Amino acid sequence: MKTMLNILLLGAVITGSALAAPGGHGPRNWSELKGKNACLGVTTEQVDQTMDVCRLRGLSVADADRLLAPVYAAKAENLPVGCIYEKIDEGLAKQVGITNILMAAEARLACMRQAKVMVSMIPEVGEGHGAGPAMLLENTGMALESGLDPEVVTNVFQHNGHRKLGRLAHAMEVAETLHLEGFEDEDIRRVLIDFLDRNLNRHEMFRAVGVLKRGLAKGLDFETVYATLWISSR
Amino acid sequence: MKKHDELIDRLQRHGTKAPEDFETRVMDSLPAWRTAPQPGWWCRQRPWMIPALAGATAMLVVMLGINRVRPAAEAPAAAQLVTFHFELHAPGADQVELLGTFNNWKPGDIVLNGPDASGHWTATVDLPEGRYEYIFLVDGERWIADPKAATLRPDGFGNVNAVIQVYDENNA
Repeated sequence: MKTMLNILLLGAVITGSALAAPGGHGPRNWSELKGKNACLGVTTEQVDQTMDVCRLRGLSVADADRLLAPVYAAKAENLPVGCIYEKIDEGLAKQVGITNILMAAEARLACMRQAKVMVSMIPEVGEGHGAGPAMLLENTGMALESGLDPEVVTNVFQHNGHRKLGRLAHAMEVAETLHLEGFEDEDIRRVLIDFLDRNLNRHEMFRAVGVLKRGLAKGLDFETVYATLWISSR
Repeated sequence: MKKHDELIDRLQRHGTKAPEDFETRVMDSLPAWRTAPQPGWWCRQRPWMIPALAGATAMLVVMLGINRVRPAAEAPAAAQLVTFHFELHAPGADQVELLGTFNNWKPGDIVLNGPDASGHWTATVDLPEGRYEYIFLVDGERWIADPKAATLRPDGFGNVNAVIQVYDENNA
């Protein structure tokens, strides 16, 4: 009976504390804001750095909290957090206006959301594989943010080749690189599917990409370089 | 049932005394193992306890030995660092900084050495394998994407960052 009363008393105290806490009103000071950010999965050093820069920029606690809203959203939706935090840090370091930083962070968050939908539709992989798809999610989101055609991503994800999450994640990293290098979408799709069929690891993929880039830099067309790719890579 | 009751009644009323050495003779007739004191718990369990304890000790020694021999394999693997060389030609600059995803875009964290006689600023950074974006900050005000970088990426703020994929050739 006494134990039951103790449990009830403890429950009442916890409930009372929760109701009294300013959860609905946001952090009241920098210390509370740091505490809120400490459980996001980024390092304490990074949180401290971000808070310091926010303070130096003259942001209020409420403004800084609003700026970090995309990070909180990412955490709540089980999306990569670090890359969104990085975008905010980058904007702060580059002295970009707060509105523009928020827009860039929101844009990255949107890409991560789109990536999550695409990753969840991969046959026999889907959603809910713990921390495994984090790299795939992030690399896919970054590739989409760089402007890679989502159809290329979908085609690669639906391909009947190897479906190891790590291989797909590296394929997305390669896809972004090829896109930024100016490769055509169809060529990117073809290269990625070839890489997956050959079960290449990250190093092998980038070695092959190097051969492709050097060939194109010499003025050769894609077909010519591609035809000699596997001979050159050996 | 009634028959048993009668028998018990008759036995209770039976008045013949047992011979004086009856108890001694009964005890003498019993086999020796029935009259000897019972052995202790250890003695009873010994036949199988000794090999069991020996096996457990051997297992403990093996487990400790494994942990002692390969601590690196069980501990979280340290990130493989790859030395990367950054360079910018900025002959008139007073200071060149390097900011990127590898240092959380922290101003003042990595300051390049230079300029050398030909106006080059350099920094050597050990990075874990991965993909990084970076940019140079010249004299605290000019943001310059690495002109030698093979890949440039829009930064979402109207500028571009250089992109590097760092990987250890020896791991390939």
